[in-house]
Amino acid sequence: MSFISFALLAQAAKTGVEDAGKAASEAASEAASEAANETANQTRRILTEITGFKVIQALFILGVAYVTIKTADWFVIWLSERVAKESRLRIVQFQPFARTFVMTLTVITLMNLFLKLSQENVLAVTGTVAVALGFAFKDYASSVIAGIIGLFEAPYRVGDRIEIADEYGEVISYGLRGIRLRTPADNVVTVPHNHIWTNSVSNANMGELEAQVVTDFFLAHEADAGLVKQILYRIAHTSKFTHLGLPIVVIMEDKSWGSLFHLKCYPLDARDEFAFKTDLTVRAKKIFAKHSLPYPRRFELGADDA
Amino acid sequence: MATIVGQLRDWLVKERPFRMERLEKDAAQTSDVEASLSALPPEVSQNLTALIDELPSHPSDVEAIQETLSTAVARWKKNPAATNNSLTIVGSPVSAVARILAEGLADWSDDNDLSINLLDWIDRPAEPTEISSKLQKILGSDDAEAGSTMAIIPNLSWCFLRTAEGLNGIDYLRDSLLSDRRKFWVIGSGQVGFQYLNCILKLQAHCGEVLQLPRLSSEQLKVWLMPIIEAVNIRLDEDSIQERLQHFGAEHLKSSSFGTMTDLLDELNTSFKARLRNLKEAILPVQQDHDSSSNGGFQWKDYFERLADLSDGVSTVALQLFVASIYYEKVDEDTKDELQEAVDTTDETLEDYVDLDPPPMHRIIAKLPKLPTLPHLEQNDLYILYSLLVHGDLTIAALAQSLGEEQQNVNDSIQIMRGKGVIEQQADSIKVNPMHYPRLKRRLASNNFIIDSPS
Repeated sequence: MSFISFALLAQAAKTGVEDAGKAASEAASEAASEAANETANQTRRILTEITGFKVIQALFILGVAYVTIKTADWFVIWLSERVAKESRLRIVQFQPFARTFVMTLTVITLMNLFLKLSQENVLAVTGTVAVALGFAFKDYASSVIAGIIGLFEAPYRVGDRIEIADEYGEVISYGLRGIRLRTPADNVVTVPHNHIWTNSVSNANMGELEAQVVTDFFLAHEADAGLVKQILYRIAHTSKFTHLGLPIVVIMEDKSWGSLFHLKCYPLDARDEFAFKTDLTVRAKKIFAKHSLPYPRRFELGADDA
Repeated sequence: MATIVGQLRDWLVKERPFRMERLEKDAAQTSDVEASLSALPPEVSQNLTALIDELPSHPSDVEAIQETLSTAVARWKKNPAATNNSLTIVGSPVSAVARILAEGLADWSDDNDLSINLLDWIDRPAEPTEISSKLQKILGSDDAEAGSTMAIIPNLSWCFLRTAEGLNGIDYLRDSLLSDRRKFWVIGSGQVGFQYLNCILKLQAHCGEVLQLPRLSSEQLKVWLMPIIEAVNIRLDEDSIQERLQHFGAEHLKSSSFGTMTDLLDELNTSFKARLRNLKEAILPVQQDHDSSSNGGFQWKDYFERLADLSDGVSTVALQLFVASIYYEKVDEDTKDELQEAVDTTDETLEDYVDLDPPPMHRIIAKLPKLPTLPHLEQNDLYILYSLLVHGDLTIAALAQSLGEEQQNVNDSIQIMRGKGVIEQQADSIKVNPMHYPRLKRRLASNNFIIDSPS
């Protein structure tokens, strides 16, 4: 009797467990289905009906935005080249602001076109976008945010001469994700804005037109230091590029291999930096040769100072 | 002394007409001045050119030089060892300062018994390294007695070239000015060149007295030019001037080039100054002369005020703007009647107003003076133009040397700017077109060049 009872009980229990499992599975399936439905409903609530006309509208908006950005870029650069040089960099600073403004306006217009932007929906979209960006585009988002902050903090601006990510050059463009530098070799290097979070940026002119140029001259110990100094001042004073309203300084360092002279002065236009350096060097070498000023000999260059 | 200085002006004009004569222009390019002169009948044009060539430097410049010189020399003669022994006369870089200086010294020298040690150059030596030794040879003579000699350097810009070795001549002068007190030094210099030398060599600290030639006012310009206007019988074309003034802004706004935007700003500035003056005259009880604009029309007084504003008070610029504003106009029947009415109210005859022979009747009129538009200039062009203003005038070889560039490259840029009318060239010598100077000065000043700030 007891065995039969036990068997019946066991059978009942087994059936109960199976039923319970089935019920749980069904419940889970229902929940998933409900969630999917809910998501679909939410998506339906957020998304408007995508029609061919709307797609054409969106393409048109993108086209207009592209043309506006290019026109704004052209106009700002055109205007900056035609105003007094002292105002050039101030005008160029409008370029990133204009670009950001147009892009923001375009994104809002497109969202308005394809999404029903109620308060709830905005929150839902923002959350979803934040999660998506957090995982898939975190570096991109980081660069964009750094770019927006950079507009106001201004570690670099268009027209500045900066050293960043082992590259030196003039900032020629300030985009949404990064900047473009023109190097002395005339290469264009793109550096993302998020570089500024953790790395240093060396800016030579910080929005000013003038950037100091340091030109080094290497001469032997026997060279008359007084004469060299006099020649270097005269070279700087007579260069067509020199900004005569700013200080000109000659600094000398004595090294084991000879004498190192730094000629520090400013060009009239920071864009002439490399031409200025070349002009100073070429003309100084000509005068050094006339005065037979000796250069350090190659084998004397010490490893510590070279 | 009087003989030497008296001949100096004529000699300079004869030897360097391109630099010294007031209307000497680039023969290969047609300027506004030449276009204006060529539109006149040949005899009128020749008469006008002759009158302008004979026109002495403005009396205010001559008087300023003579007064300052008399005071400075008298002080130096009393105590040659202790007082300033030099006078530097600084004029506009587009004016022939050597000519003004010579005219200023010509009358003054009659009353003085100083012997002259004249730097009789008409140009800078071709080799800049030789400037110093050549200066020493002419000006460094040891036989002068204290208080008896005057050393005259008509144009300081011939004593230097902006190269590493081209400033040795200025080094020599800088040392001589203070050390050689037996002589009194009179130096003429362009304003931009003097400012440059002062900036890099602190030249002014070594020059005793510096006389900046004053800006000419509208009244001074009127006194200076009225004899020519009366001699050639030039009438003011009030109608076209009024019309042009009223439509000036609209004309320029319609135009798309940036050069005309700058013109518009300049024009607005000039108009604003004129209105401010009129307002001041209306509020303050000032004495009005018969030629004033109290009747609301545009009169010679307004014309010269505009000329003074546009030229920044520089005589050479004002003179060229004046000539460029002259036209030869056919008189139609309506105008003839109007003229007859005007003549009836005066003692003059119609023949005084217009040229009756040959028919049809013509008259010489002055329209609104205007500055030419400064064409688009690259940064490299600005370097060239600044160098020209520092030196006054240069040969192409010297300019290339000064810029540290190949002569061929410099010549390419020169010919392009010559075509635009910014630069004038005769033989190998080049200079800035004086009519472009006021706008060019403002452009250079706003681009960090050491030049007088915009007025």
